[in-house]
Amino acid sequence: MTTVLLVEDDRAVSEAVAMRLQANGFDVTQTYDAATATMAIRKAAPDVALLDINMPAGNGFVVAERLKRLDSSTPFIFMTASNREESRTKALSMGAKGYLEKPFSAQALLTAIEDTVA
Amino acid sequence: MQYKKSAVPNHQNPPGSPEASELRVLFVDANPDRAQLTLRAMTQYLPGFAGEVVAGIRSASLLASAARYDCVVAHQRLLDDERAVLQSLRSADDYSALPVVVIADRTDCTDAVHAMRAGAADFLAERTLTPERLLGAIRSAVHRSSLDAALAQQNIDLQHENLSLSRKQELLADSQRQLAHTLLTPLTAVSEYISMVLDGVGGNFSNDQGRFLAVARGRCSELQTAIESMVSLSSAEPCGEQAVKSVVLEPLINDVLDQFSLQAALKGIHFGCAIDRQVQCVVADEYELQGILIELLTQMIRACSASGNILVLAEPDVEQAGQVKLILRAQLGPYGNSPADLDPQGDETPQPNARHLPGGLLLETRVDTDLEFAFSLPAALATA
Repeated sequence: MTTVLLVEDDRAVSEAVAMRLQANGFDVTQTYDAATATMAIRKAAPDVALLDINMPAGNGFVVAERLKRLDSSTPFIFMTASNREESRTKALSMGAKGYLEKPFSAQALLTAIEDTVA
Repeated sequence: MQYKKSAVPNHQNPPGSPEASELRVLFVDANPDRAQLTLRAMTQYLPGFAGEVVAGIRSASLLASAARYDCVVAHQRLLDDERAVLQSLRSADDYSALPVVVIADRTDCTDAVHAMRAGAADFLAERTLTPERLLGAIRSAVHRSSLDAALAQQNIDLQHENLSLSRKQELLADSQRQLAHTLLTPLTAVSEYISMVLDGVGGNFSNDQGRFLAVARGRCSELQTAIESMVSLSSAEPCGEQAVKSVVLEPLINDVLDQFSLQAALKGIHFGCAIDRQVQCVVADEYELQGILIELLTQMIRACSASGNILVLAEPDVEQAGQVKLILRAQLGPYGNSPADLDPQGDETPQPNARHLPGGLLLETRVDTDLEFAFSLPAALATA
């Protein structure tokens, strides 16, 4: 079963995304900030990380940097509600495998993860 | 020096230019006696006029840097190498520096062009020099120098304003990002929960429940569209940098003159262009400005062609901050006659003709005599 590390500070969004992924056969670990995400990565490297960009006390880019240091082989996908072009550019320059703009459809989410894992 | 009383052209006595008693002028001449004569004539006819005479460039340079002068009047005989001399008295690219008016012992338009290109503020023939004419040239040069400084300051102010606008734009962009995040994040949760229920993740539901949720999902889509539109609008630039489309006058005029050169040469008409500094003008269409120059020169050639050889000189005169007047002056007859020596043709009264062009450009054509055509256009900046 594919493991997904979900890093999202908004609890409602986190629950919704986690439920959707679990309904499609993914094993999801939910974290709500950069610190707990780092601990989770150290505990067990996921198959794919789904990272919200805008979070207080450490954004998704910080988590991605830590992830790359701990396990450079883990792919990651960014999620964001901001349509800032600079974010997209930075995300891709960091090596993100996907970039989802909220609100995204269930299909877009599943496609992004399946394409990344494949 | 002949003391002919003649009217000083209007453009040499612009409003706001200093009075004779307010000026301090340095006269530089290899023949100090000649310069003293000039100075004596100036003080005799113009009460309050103050000046000093030096014989050499080195002395002039030392005096100019040590004392406050408003203008230097240099005799052309001193200027074997005008460029080096004029640059020793003023920085070539510093428009707030001392203006230099050159007096020549003969009217040679080639020398005039060289002197203007070397940085002279004006060029006068000694043979027809009068105190009034010299004073007019000095006042005009000093006035232009102060306007150059004002325009340079305007440049600086505009740059600061642009920087301020950029900072404000960045603040606005940051606010827009925060707004997008605040609105779209909860909407994501709402949309996703509705979708999961409709997809059966939470179990079965009735037809009515399905219909209600479908309506809710539709309204979420509308809300998303509205938020994204609002965010897009708020990210639009409220005002951008003030961009000036530079049009440099000298090459533009030279291009136009080149178009006339062949036909003009057959009529014995020769062109020259002496613009001693770059001027940036705000124009909506550079080609339209070129068309206007062609029209002006066509009028001039028609008016003057019957008189034989003419030489056209174009010189800009910054009247006031924000305006540049371009004067096209023709010299009729053999080289050496100044327009003031010849009577105006007919009984022409000035016929101002204003035309508004796109981009806020105002073109005013004024024919004072058959010999001078002037038009004004706005200058946003003058380059340093």
